[in-house]
Amino acid sequence: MIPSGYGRLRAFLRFAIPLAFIPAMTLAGALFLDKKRYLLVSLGIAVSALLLFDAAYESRRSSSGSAAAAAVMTALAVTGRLIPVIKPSAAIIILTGIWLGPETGFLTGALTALLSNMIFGQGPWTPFQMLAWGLTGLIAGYLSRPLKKSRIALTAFGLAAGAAYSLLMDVYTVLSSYGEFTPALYYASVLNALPFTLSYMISDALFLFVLSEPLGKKLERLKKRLIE
Amino acid sequence: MIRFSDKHPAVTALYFISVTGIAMFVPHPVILLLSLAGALSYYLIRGEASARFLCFTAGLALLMTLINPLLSHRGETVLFFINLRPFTLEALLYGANAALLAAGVIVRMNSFSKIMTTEKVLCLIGRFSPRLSAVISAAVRSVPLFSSYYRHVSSFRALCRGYDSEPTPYDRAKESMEAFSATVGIALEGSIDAADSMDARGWQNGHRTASSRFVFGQNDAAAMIYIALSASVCIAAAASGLLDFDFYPVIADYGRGLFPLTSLVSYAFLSFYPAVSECVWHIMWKKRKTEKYPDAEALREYNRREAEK
Repeated sequence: MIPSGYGRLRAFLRFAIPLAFIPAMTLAGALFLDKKRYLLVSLGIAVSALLLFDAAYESRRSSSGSAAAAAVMTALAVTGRLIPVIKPSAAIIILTGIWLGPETGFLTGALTALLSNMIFGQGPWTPFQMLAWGLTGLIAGYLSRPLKKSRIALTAFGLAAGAAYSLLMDVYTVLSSYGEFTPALYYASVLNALPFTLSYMISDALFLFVLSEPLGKKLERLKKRLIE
Repeated sequence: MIRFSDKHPAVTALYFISVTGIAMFVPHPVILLLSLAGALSYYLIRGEASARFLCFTAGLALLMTLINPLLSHRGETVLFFINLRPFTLEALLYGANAALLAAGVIVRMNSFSKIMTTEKVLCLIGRFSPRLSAVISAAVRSVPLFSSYYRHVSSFRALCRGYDSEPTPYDRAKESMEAFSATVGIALEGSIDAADSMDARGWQNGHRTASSRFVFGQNDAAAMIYIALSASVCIAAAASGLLDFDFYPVIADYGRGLFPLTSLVSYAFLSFYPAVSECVWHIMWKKRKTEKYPDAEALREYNRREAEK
């Protein structure tokens, strides 16, 4: 690859973000800003984490096949989010992570949040959603061996992923709406979001249970054909 | 005169980041009021307002206002007691402040989502991350494509089933699952072709170029400077603690003097910029039209009368 100006910038960011930016932001937030600035620091860290992934993704060699597959799975997950109440998006992201690897899983999750928010509304919550769904795909990718083996483990993972996503976004809700973080406010917002949490958990587990067999077979075949 | 929504994506991004950023991190009531007023005026002037969205936002704001005093009992001025717990004026106003913030951000972000279309996002990130842009543009194209695949497959399956018996809900669910599965199959097979064609066009070789239809002109530069100036006055005032505002234990405004006032005025300039710019654009448009076609209105009137006869 010919190193262009942007190539150098990406190479710089790959070292600067984890070694300098994120520690500096955390320290500055703890030392110089009062506690009402939690959201500023966490938003900064979320955005730089996504930027770090992007810089790394651009710099390393990845096959065209995994990029094309990520685009297809993202489109499927975005389409799935249009279905009311029970949404297969997270299940599709998890299956992508399991079958196509953690990197593609993260990419699919993050892009699903970014692109579906073009329909549902962008906002300061977008980086957090991107991270939350991206991590769902990433963790599924790392746990792929046990999750491929048993359907019960997969369903349990779906329940956990739905709950974790909702609990993580509740942290954002509290920080953004009240500026401070107290256990009482957090419990209240968790209770407030309980119907959503349940719907995420149920739809993740349900779709993972139903889709794992047919979609897994197709993804397996895709992987085989792309490697050939 | 370029319309606010047609400016360069960098201007749009800078504007929305600075205006919402300041509202979110400087929770001064006047700033939040200005933010909501500016956002609402632009939302209404754009002419795509929906009553449902406004009702939802208002309901959310009301809920947030009332929840805080029920959970938080800080503050000196007790209005009344609920279950022996004080309901304070300060907590109520704090909740109202948070509600103002949320409503302002939601309305502003609604306009942002409508203006910031995918090709603008791609224009912004295209040079820094060409590979990601390729994935995004492929994904965006695929969303309507897959919906149409899904419709094709499910209508064909319905045809195969025939009209002998009314399908039970279980059959319907099973059918839609099968149609979904077939759609995924088509989509993934297509992705293999897409990968081959990406390789044929040099996916891994050399560096990728990016092109976009947006040109950064003088107009955009002027807008950028205007936004940066008015935002930096606010940020400077906030960083020096002049816009601090406390609700607990009693309401206290620390911003006295000329500088905080200047910063509030400059935030008003920032917040109302799109609404004013849109208004000016409409007026100019009308003026130019009547200059160029002075008799257009008279002709339309004449045609209408003729048609009525």
